[in-house]
Amino acid sequence: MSPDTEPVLEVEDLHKHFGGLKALDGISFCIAPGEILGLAGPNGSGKTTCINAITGVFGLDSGAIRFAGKTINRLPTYRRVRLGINRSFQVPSPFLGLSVMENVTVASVYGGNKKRDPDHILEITGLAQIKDRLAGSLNSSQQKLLDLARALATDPRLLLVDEIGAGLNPNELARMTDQLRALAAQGIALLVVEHLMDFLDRVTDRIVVMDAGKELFSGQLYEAAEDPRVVEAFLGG
Amino acid sequence: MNLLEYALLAGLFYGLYFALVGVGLNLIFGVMRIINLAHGDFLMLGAYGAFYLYHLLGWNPLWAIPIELVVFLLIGLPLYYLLVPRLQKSGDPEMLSFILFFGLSQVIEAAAVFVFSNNQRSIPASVFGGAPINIAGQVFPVSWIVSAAVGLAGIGLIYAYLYHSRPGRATRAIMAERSEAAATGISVNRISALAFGIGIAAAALAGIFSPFMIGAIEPSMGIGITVISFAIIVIGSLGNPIGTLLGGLIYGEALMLMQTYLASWSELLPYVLLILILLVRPTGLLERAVRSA
Repeated sequence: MSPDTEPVLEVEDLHKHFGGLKALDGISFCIAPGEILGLAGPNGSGKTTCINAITGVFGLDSGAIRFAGKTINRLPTYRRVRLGINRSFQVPSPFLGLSVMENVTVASVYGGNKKRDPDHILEITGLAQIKDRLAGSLNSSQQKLLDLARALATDPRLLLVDEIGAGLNPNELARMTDQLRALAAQGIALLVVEHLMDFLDRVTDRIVVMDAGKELFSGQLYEAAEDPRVVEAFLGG
Repeated sequence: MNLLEYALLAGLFYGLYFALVGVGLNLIFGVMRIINLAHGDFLMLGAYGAFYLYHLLGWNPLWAIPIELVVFLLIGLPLYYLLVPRLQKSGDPEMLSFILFFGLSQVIEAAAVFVFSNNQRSIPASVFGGAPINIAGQVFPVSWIVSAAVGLAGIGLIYAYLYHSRPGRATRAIMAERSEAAATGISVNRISALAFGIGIAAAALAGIFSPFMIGAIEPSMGIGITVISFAIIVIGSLGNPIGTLLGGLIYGEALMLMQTYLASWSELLPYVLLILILLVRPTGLLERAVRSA
């Protein structure tokens, strides 16, 4: 395996219980640099839990998460960010009392790579014109972009994108598709959790479908649509 | 008219000082969402520090400022790691913080009785020089002016820290969204520990001047100071350290007006203000929303 194709992220046999609920039940996958992997599944299938586990929001019951070959299970969130793992949130919560520029600057300063220029990040995410506005005054799609900008300001090698398409109009979705593909072209690996199948189809290279914390399917999206297990999981018995 | 002018000017000096009394409590609440009920006890310890530096070494209380800022910052850092991270992991850290810090307050008070005794202590106001100062035709003790100036400087420094420094920006990020701050690479515990240390150091700084503004130093003074501080930060807006300046000014003015015109009722002031503001404007006058539920 050449260095370029070595996975930047490997998750292996992850298990996480919340009380009696099995949120993750043996899920495994890997992502190579520059690859966009989609993570799909019905509500409650464990997609966001998976992202939370990778970013260190909570610990695992068992399993291994390796980033660039190093096991990171016990690292706190901020250390994972500094290694190069970051995420955008399903419901973005920017620092409302700080300006757009301050939001990105904080991430740039503390995220581990001071060389990322906040102005450049704001330029590529289309937020430069509103950089002095308070984050609390932005609409929801602008807050999503700010969430993405803040993640990019930490210079991630792996970006976990949680439901970023939700609430965006078709034009905004098309722009977001281009932005995510451009990030992958720079070598950033992306894990995209999404309910919008059309968006997922346009963005991802391959997908993993989860159900009840397990992998149900791995491959191309069009193949998943033909798989009876996937159809049953989404539509019910 | 002279009486009113005197009360208003004195209220300004007291207000600036009381802003310093409350700002540490508000910084800690803003960053950690916990109520430090031992706040007044740290102020009391700061007051004893200034007292002993004066009586044992003959040092002017102004020399106690740098010493106590460093000492109490250094006390705050390990105390944060000892108490707060575990508190944050609980289901209801705000509620549990009441119990934990009330316990800490009792321990500090008991230790203070043991070490310092129950005797009341004071530092003579003449330590800052002789003649009172004439302002707008009214005469005020130098100690009031010095206390107000230190209060204003303290608030100014905390403002500069929050708005013009890197850790200050991170502190504001944690105040806005504690959970997401970690997602930008901020070490939430390290920055919070610093804020905790600053909060306690600010209380100690206010303590240095308490003999001139509040009264005699004694181990049991902490709880009353904590109540006053709580009233001040609720008025100015919980979780907004700079709003404490407004809260302090309102409290100072109200206190001086009460002491001038209704002296026998002035002890009730913090409680009355607290009840009024909670009934009329529970988010405080600056209306910064700090609670999601």
